[in-house]
Amino acid sequence: MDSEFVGFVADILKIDPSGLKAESTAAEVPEWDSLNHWVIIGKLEEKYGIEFTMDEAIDFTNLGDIYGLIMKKKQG
Amino acid sequence: MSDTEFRIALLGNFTTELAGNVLRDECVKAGLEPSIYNAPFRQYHQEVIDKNSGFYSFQPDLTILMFDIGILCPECFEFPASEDINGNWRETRLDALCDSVKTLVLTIIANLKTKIIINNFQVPYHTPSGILDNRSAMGLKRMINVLNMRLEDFAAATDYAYVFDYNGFCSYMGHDGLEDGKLRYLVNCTLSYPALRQLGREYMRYILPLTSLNRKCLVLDLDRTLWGGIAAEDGISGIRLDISGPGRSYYDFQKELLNLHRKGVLLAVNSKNNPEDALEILQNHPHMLLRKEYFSSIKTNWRDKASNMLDIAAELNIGVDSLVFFDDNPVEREIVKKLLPQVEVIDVPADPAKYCYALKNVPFFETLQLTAEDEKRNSMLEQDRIRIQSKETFKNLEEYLASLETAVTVMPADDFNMPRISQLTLKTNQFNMTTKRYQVSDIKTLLGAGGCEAYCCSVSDKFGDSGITGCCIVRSEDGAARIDTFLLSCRVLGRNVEYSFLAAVLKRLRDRGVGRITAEYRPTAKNRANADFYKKAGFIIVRSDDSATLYELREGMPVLEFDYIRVIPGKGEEMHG
Repeated sequence: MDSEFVGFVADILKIDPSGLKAESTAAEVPEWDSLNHWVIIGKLEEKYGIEFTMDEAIDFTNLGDIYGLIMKKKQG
Repeated sequence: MSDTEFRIALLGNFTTELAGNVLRDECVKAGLEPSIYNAPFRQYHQEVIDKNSGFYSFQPDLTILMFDIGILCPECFEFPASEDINGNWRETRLDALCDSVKTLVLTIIANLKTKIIINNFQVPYHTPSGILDNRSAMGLKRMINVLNMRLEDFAAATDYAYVFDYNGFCSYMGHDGLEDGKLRYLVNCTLSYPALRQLGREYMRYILPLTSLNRKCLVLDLDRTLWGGIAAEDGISGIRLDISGPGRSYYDFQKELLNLHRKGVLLAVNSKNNPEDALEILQNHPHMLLRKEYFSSIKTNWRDKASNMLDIAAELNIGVDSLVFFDDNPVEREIVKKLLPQVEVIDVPADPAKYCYALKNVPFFETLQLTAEDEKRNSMLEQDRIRIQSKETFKNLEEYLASLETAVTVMPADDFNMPRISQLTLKTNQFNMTTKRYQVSDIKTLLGAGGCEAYCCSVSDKFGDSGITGCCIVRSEDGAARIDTFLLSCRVLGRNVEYSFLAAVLKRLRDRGVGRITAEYRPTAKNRANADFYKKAGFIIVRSDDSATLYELREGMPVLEFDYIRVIPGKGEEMHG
């Protein structure tokens, strides 16, 4: 994950980027609640000019997943 | 409680938390300290009825009611049963819906001092009945439109409730911009994230005046902002500002600025210019809508623009935080942003064609009501304005044309209209008798050589002015005249103005003693529909072949004219007597 991506997400959650790893899940990060989850999705879609499908949005397991999918969509 | 604190409660029948989130961001950006309360999911009714609810203890300054009509009234989105096909049941449903919103508002107001924004309802484009929807007595679209109108009437009679045109907002965003299936099905939020963001910005149109954060004065640059080009280099006749062509974008922008002025917004100028160059244009350019007296303060000098901003605020006796700045130059914008962060600096698009949009898109100049002063100014303007309504029906075309009150203004070519005349010769195909193309320099050469004159015309009717839409170039020799070019933009065709324009030019020639007048029609792929123009006008054919038809009008031969079209000599004309 590049630092820009991590910084962007940390900014939404209002936490320090060091608190986010590729393995981080919503369950582990207290600020990553269900509301913030959708703010993250919405802002990432805007930032990277991509769109997640409904299935993708419910299948994310951790932050690395989201990053990987964005990179795949950017290339595709 | 600090005076920047502002409490907003959202009551909706879908998940409002995301809307609350974006609204919080917008409020912070405007310098407020917002608190947001979202009524628990689909419990707005209980919250309003229970005086001990979280909603009432939150004590909002502003309450926003956001209801999705599809969730509120799902049966309206089903194909009606056969006994309901006329839609009479919808009348009953409409009354009930309207009453329920009103009751909700009145209950809130009985228990709480809050302003209330009521989102009106989205009129769906697709309905279960499809194209049959508007053929039943009360289709779905009609039902929601009527409901929206009733809500407006209800709110307009209060001093606490305002209808937000959510339906208009939906069309503005467009279906693709509005919807996000994920959010609809996974979060029960009916709007996409970008749409929510925009919605937050739109609510600021209400929140800024409610918190007295709306702005009083718009400060404008001149060059490349109010007109195209540079005053000091291009001069009054070289700048781009016109009622047609590319200069029209600046004219339209000025129109929007004039609307703001009428609404009570102060206008000011902050421009790096020689005062005399700028003033010459402000006072004498024929298409300048905003004359000197429309500006409450004019700073045309070579100082830095931030210092000028401070002077303008001091001169108008308002805070620097009441100013908004509009300048095409990103460097100037950046300087003002840096030095005076209290000033709102509009992100001006690089393309002047988008200025109007950028201006309309900012929420800083809304007011919740007009002041007595605003109304006085407006009543004065009203006297000048002619109200146009054409409700009559017409028996025939002539009668209709006569009712238009068409007037053709004929003007000799001058420095202002010459670029437009050239443009017309370069672009006009349909109604162009000879299709000769002339650059501005060509026309100058023709006119300079003597024995040649050029005219242009503008056409106005009770709906407005077309701008310069026709031109005629005539060459004279030995007491005879030849029409070299005669053309009209297709915008003004179909109203017989071509005959009046021609007749006006012919009359001018005959008054001067010209006896024989010839004219030529050269067919092209695009101008054949008007091949008989000169014949209809009264000319006779002298000779004709594939490449051209030569016409002639001899002394005393009548010329076709229409008495319902007024011919007005243009400004330059009066000087000739």
